Amino acid sequence: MTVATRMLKAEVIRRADHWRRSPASAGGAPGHKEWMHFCVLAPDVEVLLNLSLMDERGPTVEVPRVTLLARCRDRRWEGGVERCEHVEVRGGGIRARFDRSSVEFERGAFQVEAQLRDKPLGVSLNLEPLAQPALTSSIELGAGGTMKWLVVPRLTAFGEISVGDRRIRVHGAPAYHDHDWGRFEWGGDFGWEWSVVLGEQTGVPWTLVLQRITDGPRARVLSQGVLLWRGARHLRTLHGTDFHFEALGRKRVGRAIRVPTIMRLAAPGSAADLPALLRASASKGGDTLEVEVEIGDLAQVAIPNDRGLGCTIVTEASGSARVRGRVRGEKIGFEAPAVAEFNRHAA
Amino acid sequence: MPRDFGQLLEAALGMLRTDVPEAYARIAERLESAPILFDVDGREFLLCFDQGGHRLADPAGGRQVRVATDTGTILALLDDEISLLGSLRSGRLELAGSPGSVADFDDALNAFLAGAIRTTRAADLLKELRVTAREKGDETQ
Repeated sequence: MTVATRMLKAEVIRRADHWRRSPASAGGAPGHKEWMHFCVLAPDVEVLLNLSLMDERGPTVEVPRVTLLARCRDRRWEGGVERCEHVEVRGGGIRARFDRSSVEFERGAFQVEAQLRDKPLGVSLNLEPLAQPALTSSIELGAGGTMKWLVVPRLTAFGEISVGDRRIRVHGAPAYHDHDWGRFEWGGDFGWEWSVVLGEQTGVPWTLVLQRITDGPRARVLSQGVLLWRGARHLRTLHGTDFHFEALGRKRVGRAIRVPTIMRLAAPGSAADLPALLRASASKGGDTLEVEVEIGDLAQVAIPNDRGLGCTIVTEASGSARVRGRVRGEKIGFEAPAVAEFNRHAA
Repeated sequence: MPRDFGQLLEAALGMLRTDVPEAYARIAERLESAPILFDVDGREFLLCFDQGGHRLADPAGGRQVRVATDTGTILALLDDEISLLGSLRSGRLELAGSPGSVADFDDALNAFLAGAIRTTRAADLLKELRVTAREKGDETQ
């Protein structure tokens, strides 16, 4: 990666990955949702961190939450979601503090610290972007709702992750980051399926992001596609009718963690309308791509709906992917770890 | 001296009434005609809703549903260490009432939980419940 490429990525991130903040915080319309999401796939531990600001119903604007989940290789997911009290977020900047968690972008890398109040789980990481960010156009989410997202698909992580009394050093682990913002209602007529495949861990240069956004019953596709990077370069986007997406089989939730844990009481069942396998195929102009993501261990995050007293369940899943195809004349064939996410209304 | 479960439940309902009125209204609607007799850690009380508010009353009053358990089990349920079905099967939780009344109780419980995740103050009450459960646990040892 050249110095020029590194500078370009940093400049894109500085210009586009800043907190938008809710217009309601300055007297404007409420309904804003925004979060920064990080995934790290280290050999011994996977971590998901989400820092969010969500307008809720009525006068409650910009409710700040930290969600931190970790899965050691020999254990199930653990973690929590905590509502924060001491928050510093400046619109137009990347730096943010949520109680004992923070994010900053300096010298071309993210510095991310996170520590839960109620559980012995924390991260202290430096995440250096390795691939060109991509910014999506506005995506429809339910009636009148829209969301945009910036994806930094591949980073390399250094630092430490603490799980209980274990201190796990992270040295060059593959990572992923996105930033999502928009004005929509949790519980609206939409759902999504998303996955990132981080090929770098197995020595291949490919990174893929798959996504499908549908209406709530998944009868109508609102948006779908696959974004493909080779090394630092965003090589190809295939979407719309060029892309076919299937969610196959049924994954049992079993005793998967759900946070906040009290929401397990509210919806105790183990059936969750989740697939065991995501299969995507894309074809256009001589390029072909076949992707399968096998869904592994699950962790669920309950998000209060904006109307009524229901919840949206966002399920995070570890996974393993198989990718085959040919793009820009280059043959692709590899297996790699993946992370998947599903947005569903609570049963 | 930490507050007992009844006092904490009363405080939690007061919190929901202020912070998440929609949840409180749902609970009140479901329980207005179905008072709940709680028997927690051996202390009995009746949870009643009338005239738009709640109160803890003498257990001798008429009840529709009886819930018998201990604070350790309530905490285990909230922490997802035991399932609702598991607690019933193991006898750690007893739930008795007509099917309609139990369904109303379940709906009220769901509204209570939905309200609890919508307010920051629930975390403080949960911490207090842990202290109560710990002290009750010490008493029984």
